[in-house]
Amino acid sequence: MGNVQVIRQWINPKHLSSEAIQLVEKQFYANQVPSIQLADFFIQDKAEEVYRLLEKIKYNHDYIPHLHSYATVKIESVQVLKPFFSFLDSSGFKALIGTMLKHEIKTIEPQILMLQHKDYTLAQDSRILKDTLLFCFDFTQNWPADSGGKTGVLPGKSEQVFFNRMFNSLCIIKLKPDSHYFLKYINANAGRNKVFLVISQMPLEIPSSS
Amino acid sequence: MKQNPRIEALKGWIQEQHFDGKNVKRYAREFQHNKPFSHLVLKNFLQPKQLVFLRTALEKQEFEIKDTDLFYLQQTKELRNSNSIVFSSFYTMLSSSYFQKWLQEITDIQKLKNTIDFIGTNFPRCGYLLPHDDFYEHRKIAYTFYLSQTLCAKEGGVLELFAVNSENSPTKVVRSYPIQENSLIFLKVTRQSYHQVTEMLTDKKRLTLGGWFHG
Repeated sequence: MGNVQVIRQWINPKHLSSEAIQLVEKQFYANQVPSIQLADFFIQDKAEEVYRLLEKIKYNHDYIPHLHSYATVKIESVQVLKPFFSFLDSSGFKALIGTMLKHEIKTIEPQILMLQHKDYTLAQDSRILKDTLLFCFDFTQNWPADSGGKTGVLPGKSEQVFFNRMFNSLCIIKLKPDSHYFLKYINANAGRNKVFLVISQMPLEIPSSS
Repeated sequence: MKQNPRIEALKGWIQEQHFDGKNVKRYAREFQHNKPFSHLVLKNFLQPKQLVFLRTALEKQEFEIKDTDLFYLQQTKELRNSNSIVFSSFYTMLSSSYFQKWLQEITDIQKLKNTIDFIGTNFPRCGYLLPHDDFYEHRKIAYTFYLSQTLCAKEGGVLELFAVNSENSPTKVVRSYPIQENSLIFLKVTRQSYHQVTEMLTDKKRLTLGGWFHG
């Protein structure tokens, strides 16, 4: 494994034991849509810090009605989050995830999304051209359960699958070329609450055995 | 004086002013020229007692929740083969050559098939339908009969129509129609006919009967 010290600075130790790492692979591939949602992923202080920084960013709203409505910002312009993105790009973190999922992780290019009432993405906004791992780092706090905002996956011909919003979680989903994902419309029950996500799509170069 | 057979066939369901020759010509002009794409809104459409019959029959139907990326709403199964005499009779009228000829005079869309999609829909609180164009297979005209009480715009459930850019992508809302009881709206289905229904912000019902005419 790569830079262990860097990993231990960021990630909750409960996810770093060999038993926990082995369990991830089992759970990931046990689902019809290979996926896992790891709760309390980061050390609490780190998660809170990233949340505070995400809250303070000046976002630009991007609205293409038949595709999406959300706020975003260019990664390069968010210097305060550079340590976090450097960590995501570190050999240590990629080695950890690679060990968990038995896939080589080459690049994690993050996108920051902030969604509030009336925001959404539609399935046709996601373009999956080859087997892809979708990473969704969730920094959404105090999210009312009936507000929408869930991550939905349409796995081709099978039934859709949903993942709830959960602060300080990492959701990893394996998407095949005929599948789509979306963020469910956020309804009025959300009030002034906001969804904060850091999302990354990583196409898999080498076909997996699953 | 010999009655127009079309009027006789239809006026049991529909208020007579909608068959007046002058009105039909006006409807045709409005349909063609309405922006951002061809559509028409007709108020006080059904005979009042028929409105009540249809609404009562629809309220007795079983609705299933439909929850996807694009919408959150409740729908009945396809009603054209329903056991309900009210729906059966109404569908017979909709699929009749008399009604289709009336519709063709307004829309100038010829050769409509006599199989029509015919479904009941309700939007519960927080229900919505996000932007889409309805363009699919042989759909030509999307239609909706609004059966429940009139709502104001801030209560939600507003039908909104989008302008499109040179790439036929929707840009912004340019027409809005809050729910009006006993109105009929129909839209010409094309790759530019983008529309949405805004989120319902009330517990009141948004009951409709609608679907598509195919060609």
